[in-house]
Amino acid sequence: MENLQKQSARQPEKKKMEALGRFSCKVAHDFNNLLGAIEGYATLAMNGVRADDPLRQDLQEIRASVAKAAALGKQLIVFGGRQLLHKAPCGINGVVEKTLERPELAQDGNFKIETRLAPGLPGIIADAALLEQALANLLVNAREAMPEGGTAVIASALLRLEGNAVNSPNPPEAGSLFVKISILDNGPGISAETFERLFEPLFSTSKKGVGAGLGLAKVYGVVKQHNGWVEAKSEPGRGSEFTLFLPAANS
Amino acid sequence: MITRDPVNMAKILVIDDDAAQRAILQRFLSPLAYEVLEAGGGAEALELARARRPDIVLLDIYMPGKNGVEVLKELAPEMPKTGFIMITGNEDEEVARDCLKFGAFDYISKPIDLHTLEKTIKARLLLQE
Repeated sequence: MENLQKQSARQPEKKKMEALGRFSCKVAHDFNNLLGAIEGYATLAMNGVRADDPLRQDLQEIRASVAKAAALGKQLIVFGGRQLLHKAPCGINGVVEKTLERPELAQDGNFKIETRLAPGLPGIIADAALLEQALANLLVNAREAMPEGGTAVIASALLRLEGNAVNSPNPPEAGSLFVKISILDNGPGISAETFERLFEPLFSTSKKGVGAGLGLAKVYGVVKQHNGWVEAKSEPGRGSEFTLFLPAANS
Repeated sequence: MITRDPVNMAKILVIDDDAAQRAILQRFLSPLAYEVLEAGGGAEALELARARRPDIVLLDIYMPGKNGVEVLKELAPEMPKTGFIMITGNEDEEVARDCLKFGAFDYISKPIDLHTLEKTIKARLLLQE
């Protein structure tokens, strides 16, 4: 493995990510208006076409593509950190346990998930469903990083941070008490080139077509909207670690 | 079904800064026997709404100048019989929900599904009969 990232935990570059966030939201907004026109006129055209006209199916295909494009736009909004949240008090360990029930994370002979959850953690105020998605994304990535099989670890812990160590969008509101959730794999690690671009929207190392590149960008957006942040660490031959930091409630 | 005689046709005011969006709504709603009025901005909309007292207002939230929420807050108390339906982009759904507290009847997301919009308008007009 040449040229692997050796440095300690780092976060996505703040200025670049903020610019990308604004860009994503603007593009999503303007494209949405254009999609409105395409959707509208396709519907109008359909209204004028007889039920058995083959043109009807063509128009239906246009509308189906509009729906896909709108969903992509929605994901860009998630990255930009401007989606609607349903926040409520919850416990991170509970969120982890629910995540592990997901069918896409089913463990088999090759793939195992080990949990190391700290007991008695303070609660957080969060959109549990979105956090669950974010954790599931990271665990699926961990599995994909170990195609020959292996064990991913998901761990939670409490920590006190102050000053520059707090990277929340709004530090005073975050306070100094944080819960962190780490996901580790023991795959080959991430190349420096990939590491640079890890959280960019639409960036992907897998070739599964549209939508595949929003996993980590989405994690980044979701955590940011919880006034938290995400850090990535990767070592040659020793795998990768992604850590989410979320402010504890009433700290 | 709602039946209104031509002189008493339901009036729908479309407020959106995007001319293409207004054109589509005009084109879709006119053949459904609604009188469609258009305004390209908040200030113009207030004037038109006060002069013509529409039955339904389709109100885009994100507009330069006076935005949809401001327009709603001014008009809704003046026109309790009018049904305000907010049009929202992805990014302002939370705002759209808040609009329900300020007197909006419902909200619909862009890109607008015209048939859903038609049902929402009909539902509101039934309430207003």
